[in-house]
Amino acid sequence: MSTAARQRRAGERVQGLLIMLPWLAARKRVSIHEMASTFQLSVEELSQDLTLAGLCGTPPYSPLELIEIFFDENEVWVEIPNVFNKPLRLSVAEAFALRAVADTALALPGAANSAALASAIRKLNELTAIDDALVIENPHDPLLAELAHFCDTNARVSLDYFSPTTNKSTSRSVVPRRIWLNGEHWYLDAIDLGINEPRVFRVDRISALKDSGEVVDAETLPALADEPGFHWDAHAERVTLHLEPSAHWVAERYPVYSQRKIGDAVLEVVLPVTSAPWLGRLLVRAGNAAVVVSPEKYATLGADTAANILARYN
Amino acid sequence: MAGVARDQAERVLNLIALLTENSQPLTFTQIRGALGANNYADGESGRATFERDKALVRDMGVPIEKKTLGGNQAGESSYRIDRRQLELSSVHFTSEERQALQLALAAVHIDAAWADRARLKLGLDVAEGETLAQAHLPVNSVALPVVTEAAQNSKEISFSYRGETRRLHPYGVLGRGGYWYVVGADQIRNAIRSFRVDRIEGKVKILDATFERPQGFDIQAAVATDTEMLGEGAEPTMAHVLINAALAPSVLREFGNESVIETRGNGAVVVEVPCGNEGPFRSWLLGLVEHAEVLSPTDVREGIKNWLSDMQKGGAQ
Repeated sequence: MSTAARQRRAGERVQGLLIMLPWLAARKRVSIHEMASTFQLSVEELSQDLTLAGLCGTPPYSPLELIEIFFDENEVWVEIPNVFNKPLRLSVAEAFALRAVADTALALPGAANSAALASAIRKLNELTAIDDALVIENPHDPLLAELAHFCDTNARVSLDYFSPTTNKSTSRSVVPRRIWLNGEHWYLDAIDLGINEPRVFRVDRISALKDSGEVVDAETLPALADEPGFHWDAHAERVTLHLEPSAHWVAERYPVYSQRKIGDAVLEVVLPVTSAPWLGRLLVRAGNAAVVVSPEKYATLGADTAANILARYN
Repeated sequence: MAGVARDQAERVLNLIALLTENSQPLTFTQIRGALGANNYADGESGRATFERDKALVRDMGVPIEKKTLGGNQAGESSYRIDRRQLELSSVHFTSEERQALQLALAAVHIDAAWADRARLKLGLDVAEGETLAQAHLPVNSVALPVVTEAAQNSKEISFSYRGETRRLHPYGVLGRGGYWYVVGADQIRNAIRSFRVDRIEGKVKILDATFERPQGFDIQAAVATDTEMLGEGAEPTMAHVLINAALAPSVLREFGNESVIETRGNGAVVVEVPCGNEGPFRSWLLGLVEHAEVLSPTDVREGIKNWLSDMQKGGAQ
């Protein structure tokens, strides 16, 4: 399928080519579809870029100085002059990203072959000169190793979990499938056997975890989403809030559909909300600096939540 | 071909090739002579085009060296690209190291194309299969590589933060809890300070001044954790907070078992936590909604009650 070429800036195209040409030089001949997929371009965009490279060269424009690109059926191969046949050094951004990824991976529970990764990181440090100037801190949770083991063995486990969406603690029978770190918290993707659907659990809200001793056939379980994350779009309500400056943190801390300034100080945000208790908890933390604009049914939720907490004190 | 203006991508690729191929620096006149008028037209417009292309090449991280000539070309600038500065130094990963890096790249998702470009430059493949433990690293500021580069090269930086200009000797960059902080010696306030990188306004400038990072400087200790921030107030006050059984395990993971001063029969605990910093303490406490209650000190308890009463009334704070 041919995707229409996007308008791409010259810098983006050249930067891409400076990575592509040495990559191609190392492989000599590749499928154009595979190459397009590797570089996240449409076949049309890739063909345009490679054709562009074929027009380039330096005086006296002898074959030795020209990049020669050949297309044959679904394959492409090249003859590349010396100048473009070696990979470029990593930019600071690339080195930063690679170090951040490697350091974070080292902290993942059950990280395979961490000695090899640590040694690769040492070599990367020599290559990039980013040493102890960059520190990545990953939260730890005492349940992580156990959960990683359960994910690996398709174990059925029971867990006690406090859910902020219901504001209650319940016991669930689940099959842990994947653990993931997002920001300051670890999460567990598990199949909740009570409803036979995937659910996300914040690991630090699991108060008890018990192995049933049973192993479940993974083939019989519903599939998880490809990427871990909060797939709330299908169920979430859109709630509009007006935030005074002392509550602007809401827009930084939580995903928002949109935000805009109203006047000098007020920020209007539209948030995805999956439960009233969750929104009530947010509102009571923000205080009167957050006002629900819509839907109307949540207009007094902050005050109601405050009254509920206050009942403890009176 | 003459007379057909080349598009910028083609010109820039030609320029990089020319400046890399030649071991001697070239003046703009020589560059125009070599690449022809269809790359750089005669007169000022050609010069302006060259300046734009040169800026783009530098923005892409390709280092163009500039040298000012003497003799009969005195004052004229000449340019070259040092291949050694352009090309990746040779690095040999063992097959285990390659595999480990490929798995790391599959397990940790970073919000930028940077890691993918690095992978392609290093000739690493995409790891097959799914990893059971994954992480998402948000990259929410283009300033991140700039401040990291400055920290790495011990170069002073200046930037605008909350409307004020800061000059900082950046000792390092810390990734914590989904945020990135640049930490160092604030040259205006003459104190160690940390700044959230995504809150930096506009561009970060790397200055010429250099510095030496104090030996043993602890980047992590220099940035207060959320828990430490609860106590960052004028007075080091501690609060006693009753936590219901449902949330006790979660609170103990945050503050440690040593914070417990009383265990009640129903699984509830009383913990001692810092509360000197009113806003963060209140936000933490109310995040536990009716599952937590401040017992003491009285003024902190009354402060929470007043906050809740004001909310209940919908009145102004």
